[in-house]
Amino acid sequence: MQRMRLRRSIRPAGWCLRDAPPLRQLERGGHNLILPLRSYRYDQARALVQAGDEVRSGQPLSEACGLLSRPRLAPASGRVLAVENRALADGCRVPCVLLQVSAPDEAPLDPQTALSAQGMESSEGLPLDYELELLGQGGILLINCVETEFGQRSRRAALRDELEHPRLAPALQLLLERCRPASVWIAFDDHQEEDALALKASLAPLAELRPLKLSPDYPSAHPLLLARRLARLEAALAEPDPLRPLPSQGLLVLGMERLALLQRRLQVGPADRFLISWARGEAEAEVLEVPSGLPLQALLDGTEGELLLGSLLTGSRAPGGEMPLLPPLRTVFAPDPGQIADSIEDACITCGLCLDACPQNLAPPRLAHLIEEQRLEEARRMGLNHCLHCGICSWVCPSRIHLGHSLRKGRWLLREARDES
Amino acid sequence: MKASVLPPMPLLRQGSGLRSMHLQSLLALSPLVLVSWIAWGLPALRLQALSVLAFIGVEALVKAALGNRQRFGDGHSLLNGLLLALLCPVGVDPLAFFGCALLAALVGEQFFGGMGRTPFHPAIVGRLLLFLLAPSSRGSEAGLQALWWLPQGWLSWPIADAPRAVSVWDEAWRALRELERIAIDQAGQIQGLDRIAGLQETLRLPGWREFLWAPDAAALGQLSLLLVVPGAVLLFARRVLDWKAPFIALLVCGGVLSLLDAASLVESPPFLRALVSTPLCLLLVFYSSNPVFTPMTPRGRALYGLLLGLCMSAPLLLGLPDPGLLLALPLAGALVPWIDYWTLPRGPR
Repeated sequence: MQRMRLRRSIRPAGWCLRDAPPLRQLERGGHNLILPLRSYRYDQARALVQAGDEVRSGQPLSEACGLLSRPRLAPASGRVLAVENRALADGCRVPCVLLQVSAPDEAPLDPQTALSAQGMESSEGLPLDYELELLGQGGILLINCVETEFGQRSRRAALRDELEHPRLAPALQLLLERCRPASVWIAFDDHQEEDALALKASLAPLAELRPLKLSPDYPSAHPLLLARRLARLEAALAEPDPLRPLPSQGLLVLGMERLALLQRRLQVGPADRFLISWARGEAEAEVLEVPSGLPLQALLDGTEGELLLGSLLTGSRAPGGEMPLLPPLRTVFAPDPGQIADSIEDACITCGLCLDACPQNLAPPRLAHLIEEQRLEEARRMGLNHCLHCGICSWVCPSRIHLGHSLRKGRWLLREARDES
Repeated sequence: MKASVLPPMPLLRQGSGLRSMHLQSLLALSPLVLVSWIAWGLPALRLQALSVLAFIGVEALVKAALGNRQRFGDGHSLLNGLLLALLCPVGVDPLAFFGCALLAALVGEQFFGGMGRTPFHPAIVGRLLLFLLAPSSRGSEAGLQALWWLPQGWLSWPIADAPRAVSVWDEAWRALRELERIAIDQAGQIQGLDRIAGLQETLRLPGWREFLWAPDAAALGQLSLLLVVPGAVLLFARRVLDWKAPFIALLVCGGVLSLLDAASLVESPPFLRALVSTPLCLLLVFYSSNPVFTPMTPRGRALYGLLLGLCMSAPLLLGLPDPGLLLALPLAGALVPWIDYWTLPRGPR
């Protein structure tokens, strides 16, 4: 059996979601499934079921409601026990459908048929990957190059690897065929212009890519945030306010009329089972296949200690065993109690380890100092908005200072200050 | 203002915390400390104990007075105390030494707010204080006596010259010389060794014995280059200390001295001899490479190494090796905030 030693990340080396076979499958084992109607990526959907309803596998449990919400399909047949608020990995409480799975499972519905019955479409099988984000059929296809890979490699090298990825061109072709986007955009920042233009040239036979250059102070290049900004722009265009000038980043204005269609056309497959990597303490990590919505407790039976969801650096502490395992989750880690740093131990000794480690070439101690003194504008000029919240600064700090937390707080404060102004 | 709800960061521990870093430094210093005990006996141990006691005591008192959490458990006070003792001659008056150690811990570290906030290494500060209070009449420090402004009586403080190492080392030294003589005798007229000796004389290189043991070691930490270098390699390899600043300083200092010497512009002491006969190596390894007292970025450390090399060259050229080197580090250290200001990154790559 293939085993991977835990070294700084519990994702096994070379592990790929699509390629790696699971070492074992984790079954439901009598646990109820918890299916949230909202995730970090999508707005909340409206529940179509209520407590006591019997549902079949593949049946829509919710419908999209709002610009970026998405429907959720039942991953298994069973009875809805409740629709109630539950805590997710980020600490937020969101409405969830609590599903008691019936055994044996009934024949699942065809997702396309089930969605069509609700006026929705399925994109099951589409190779939606992190490089490509579809913002709606007939709308905008955004190739987001403003991604970085945590580690020692530079962003440029990481981007080159992604651009040369053999899956990119076929995926783009399939998306173009299936979704027929009105426009295809490629988003990049100052440092990626050359590579983005090279990609544009290489994909020219497939589609005409419109370049979208993000300004340096753009808070994040996450497609969801881009879309939110576009939505605000759309609202501003619909009801122009002479006192508030339009945002300068209106580069996607050509596709704006298509965004109104998004609420019914954001698509997702049922994602019944998915892969996670799982490690306990300093033990070896393993790849598991788990059903969507399975409570953490099913994984953690017989395990003591605190739990982290997500990677060692970007994850957050799981508040309890009732947390659902959901497809965006890649890793679950149960560290030994001694591995968790609960408090700040010492002041900064200016060793510079965090500067060496920062993938964005930021100065975390300097930024944290500026944030502490409420000098947010100065912190923004020093690149606070470019922080990836990877947490490596906290990880390497010999004084165990919560630098990552400080920087995250700074970005929140900066955003609030901007909203207020 | 709205309340911000922030999810916690995972904050897992990793191996190299402060305590681990300091313990590794202590491990690297341990051969030097042990050999100093063998060479000088109880006085060396007493000196080191006094120094450590002063540093730990001052920190405990200051933290208690300010109501802060005690942190000498991470070993930095122990390390700084040992480093100060290793810079001092064993014959120093214990009372004066203890006073200087107390002042160094207070002024050099706690006054600035503790480790990480002071640009000056407290051990260097302590050694400078000791020198200013009572410079010894030893040759390396005699140069500054002309600049000394205090009454003559101050100069006669009971600071003795460093005594020669005890008989164990004298015997070892004699044995080495005998072995060398026997080797030459047995080989008859060994041209190779003669050539090497001639080359050493021409280039004014130190003999191989001087790398093993400095016969006129004035400070506890000057006994042998070989006791310093392996520890340094260990610390550099484990990235506890940063090699860039000392390496560049060594290159600059050696380059400047060698160039001026080769051009016969200045009658400078040969660089390698200065390396083995002064605390230069010790200073470079354990003081100038400490990331706490050097700039935070690699570029800043390179600049710091350049400045340090220049600062070290001047006193060697002027014939003031020991006190000059001790001054070079605080001089370069005072520039660290300025270097950090200009070299800290201001945005993403």
